[in-house]
This record gives sequence, structure tokens and C-alpha cells, in this order.
Amino acid sequence: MSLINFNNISFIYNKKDPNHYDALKEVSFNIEKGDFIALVGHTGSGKSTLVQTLNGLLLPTSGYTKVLDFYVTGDKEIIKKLKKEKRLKSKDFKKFSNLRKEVGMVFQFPEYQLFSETIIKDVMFGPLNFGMNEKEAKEKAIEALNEVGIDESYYEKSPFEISGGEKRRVAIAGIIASSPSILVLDEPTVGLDPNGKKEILDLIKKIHEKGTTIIIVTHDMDVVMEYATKVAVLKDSRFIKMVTPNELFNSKDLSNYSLEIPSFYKFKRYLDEFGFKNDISNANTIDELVDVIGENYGK
Amino acid sequence: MANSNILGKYSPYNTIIHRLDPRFKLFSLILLMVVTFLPYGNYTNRFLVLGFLTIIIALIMIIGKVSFKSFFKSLSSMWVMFIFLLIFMFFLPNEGKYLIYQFENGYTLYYDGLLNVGHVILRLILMVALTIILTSTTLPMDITYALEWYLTPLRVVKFPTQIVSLTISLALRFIPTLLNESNRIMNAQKSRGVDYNRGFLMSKIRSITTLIIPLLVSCFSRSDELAIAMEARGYDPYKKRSHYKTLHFTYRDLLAIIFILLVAGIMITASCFASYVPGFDDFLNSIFNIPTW
Repeated sequence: MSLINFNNISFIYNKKDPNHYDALKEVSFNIEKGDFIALVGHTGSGKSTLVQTLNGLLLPTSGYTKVLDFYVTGDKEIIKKLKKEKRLKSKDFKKFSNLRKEVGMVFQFPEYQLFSETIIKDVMFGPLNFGMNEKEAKEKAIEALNEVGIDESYYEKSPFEISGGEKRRVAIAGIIASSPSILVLDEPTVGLDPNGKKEILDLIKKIHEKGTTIIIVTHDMDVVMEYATKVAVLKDSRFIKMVTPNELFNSKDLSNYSLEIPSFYKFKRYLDEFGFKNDISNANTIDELVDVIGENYGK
Repeated sequence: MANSNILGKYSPYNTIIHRLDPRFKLFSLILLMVVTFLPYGNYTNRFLVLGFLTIIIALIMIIGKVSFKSFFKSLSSMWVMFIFLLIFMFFLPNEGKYLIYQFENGYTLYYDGLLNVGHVILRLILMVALTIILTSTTLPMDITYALEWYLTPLRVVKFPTQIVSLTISLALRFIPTLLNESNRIMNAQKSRGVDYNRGFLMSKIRSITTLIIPLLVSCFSRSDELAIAMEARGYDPYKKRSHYKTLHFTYRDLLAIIFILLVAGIMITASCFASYVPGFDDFLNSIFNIPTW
């Protein structure tokens, strides 16, 4: 049983309007528990729309997204069918607070969601909304802030007086404080410096190692190569394939999906092109490649 | 909520109404609004004349492919006002000629109150319809150009028309941006468990603050960035400016003007007759055979 199941979902923005727009067309695939999925594709390929169906912010116009035991759909026929088969009630298709507790969602530029007077209050906001009491929420908030590396001296500061990178980390803490079992991140590293970027990604990796399923939308193929266990490729609102990063970057049709090749694979391609005689197709990390090249020089 | 239609939304069709000169559209909007608020004598007259105007406006809406759905949606946000009108003009003690019922303690209800409420509501609905016609058939930028054109005579008295029109066009330009932004923030807060649709007054207020504060913050930073970007490109408010788009008056506009002036003329004549010509009510009565109120 998969953790997340996209079942033939389509989504149309502004249905019945002269400028309606198909953002997703018949997308179907599964995500297993403990995966670190990277969702890639060109701008406007439907990545952000797809992840927003995960916690009921957008309801698929046809098909359904099944997350844990929750069904997310806006398709009346499917609702009718599910009601009959699974004995679900109408409110199960309208109320998403339980689902949103399980699916943490970090949007692009999450620092825009900060609003409280103090950082600690802002991080406590999510847990309080999901029904924890003040004390539990505070414990969770402190735990989350520790995890993102914000120390105690910051707790009583205003979230508007800290730096951009810190703001982003506080915002992410605000999401992980409600300890979701699935964490969705929509381009979490945009606009950060290399250090800030690495900090955020390592943080995500740490969260993943604790058993959280991670879904990350990104344009950065180096991130995909280094962190993801699987890559889902979208093109023109359609799902193309789900493969491991190695399979994706070794395949020849990469440019069809307007994806950039990571620098490591670019280097491998140059070696091939200029007639490097050893077989490098199996070297998938920098170390392995160094070994293969080293052999050539009798090391 | 985010796609609120109160201000109206441009719908990209290519009807004859869309192609009319925005200056003319703005002018006829104001003219027809004034005309709806003229006095038309007794109740029969008022409803006859406004009914005529309603038909004309409905026709324009159909020709301009204005969405009736969004029109009714924007009316639905006015129901509180309608209730207030009903209380003040009908249930509170009023004067009137046509009695419905007199209670023993002296509290009276008059038909006049109901008719007055109906009259005011009809006027408001017509006003909303007119604004929606303008906004759904005219790009915001075109409306600004039209406004600027009407303000040009004020330059004689050193009124900074260009600055005013730039302010207006910036404000209009940022409405969709801010709607997008608020949508994004709402999505983020919903993911943190805020429910904007449920809850009573206090929890509603609390959930709205989670939207308003981030929105204000981003608004300020955005305006700062915009000002810097404009200055970097050499913006000087006091220089003479040219326009990307020049407005032209065509024969279509001429026909439309004649039509609108005709409608307005009929209405104004009706108003004059109703106010100053005795027996006009009886005259209408004899044509339509309706009892005069």
C-alpha cells in the first residue's frame, strides 16, 4: 500500500472561463513511505499544482489523490463512488485539518508566512492550530527551532528583524513543529547563498533520516543528484516517468524535459566525447569516477 | 475569497463594447449613473423609467458578454446593506401615504417604505451593473488613460495630472499581484492549520491577521523595490511623458455616443416632466393603464 497515490488526476484552472488552463493532465503515480522524491520539470509543467493537491489546497477536477487514508478530490462522481464503497461522509471531502497536520507544506519564499510578534510564537502557531496545548506546542517549537539551528537568544525577537536565511529557517521550523509525516517543499533554496542552501538541504536530509517522507520541487539538478532517492519528471502537465537520479541523468533524452545536466554528469559526458578509454558508465559518484580515472594512470 | 469580484474583472472578449474608446465608456458610465439618481416623480414613474434603463443596461451587458454570474456574485456581498435599508426605511416609524397596517399602539407600516427600499436597491443594482460593464470590458490601464485625459485641463492650474494618473495606474496594476500574493499567503497559513471559512467573529479576526500582516510587510518591501527600480530607470515625475498607446475616436464611438445621449436625453426629459408638468402621472396612467401611486 503506497503512502501517496495520484490516481489519474487532472486539474483545470478557471474552468468555464475563456482563458481556462489545464495544469495537470491524467497524472498517475505512487510515492512510498520514506522516499525522498524530487519533482522536476520545466516552469509551468504542473509541479506546484500537483503538490498542492497533497493537502487539499487544490482539489483535482477529475481523479483523486490519496494521501494516507485521506482522499482529496473535487470530482463529484468519484466522491459519490467513494462514499458508497468506503462509507465516507461528505465532510471527509471538505475538512482537511487532519490531513494538513500530516502533510507539512513549505512554499516558495516561506518567510512571507511569518506574522507573530515573536519567533517562538510564530513557530507555535501551527501546533496550536492542530489542537496541541500551549505547553506541548512550546516544547515542539523549541525542538523544531533547535533542529533548524536557531538558538534560544532568538526566541523573543521579532521575526521581521532577522536576516533572510534565518527567516526561512524559522518558517520551516513553523512547519516541522507540527511533526508532519510527509514534508513537501516547493523550491526551498531559491534566493539563498550557497551556505544557506546547503544548511537547508542538510536539514531536510536530517528530517528525512528520521523517517519523514520528503517531496521536493526543484530546478536544481545538483540537489536532485545529491539528495533524492527518486525523481518524478513532469512535462507539459503530464507525468513522464519516475526513476532514480542516476537513471535520469544517464539517459540521453534529458534535454527533452528542459532539464539541466548536473556538473558531474556533464563532466562524464565530456570524458566520453573526447574518447576516454575506460568504461565510466558505472561510476555514479565523484569518488567512483576518481577511482576509474585513477586506474588509468596506474594508481 | 481571493478571487473576489467586487471590483469586477476584465474578461478578454472582443465585442463592440470592448473596442469602444475608454474615454467614452468612462463618460457614459458617469452620465448613466447621474441619470439613475435623478428624481422621477411618483413611484409608478420611478419604476417605469428605471425599468427602461434596466433593459438598456441589460442589453449592453449581453452585447459586452459581461458575466451575469460575477454580477450576481458582487451583488450578494451587498445584502447587509439591503437589510439596513429595510430596517431604516420600512420598519422604523416613517411617514407615508399608503397605509399597510396600523397597530393598536400607533405603530404603522406604509407601502411607501417598501417602495422606497425597492427604489434605492434598484438604483444600487444599476450602479453596480454599470461599473461591472466598465471594468469587465475595459483594461485597467485604459481606464487610467481615460482618467488622465479628463484631468488634462487641470494642468493649467499646475495640478500634477501625471503623478495622479501614475498613482492610480500603479494601484490598479498591483491589485492582481496582491491578490496572487494573498492567495499564496493564505495557502501557506492553511497548511499551518488556519481555517478561513469556519469560526465566529474572534477566530475570524485572528485568522485574518495571519493574512494581513504578511501582506502588509510584503507590500511595503514591494513598493520600496518598485520606487528604486523606477528611479534606476530615470523616472522623473515632472518630465513630459509620452504614451505607449494612443487613444483614437472612431465612427463606432460616435454611434455609441449618440445612443447613450439619446438614452440620457429620454431619462432627463422624463425627469423634467415628472417634476414640473402637472398631470404627467395621469398621462402615463392613461397609456399604460396602471394605477398611480
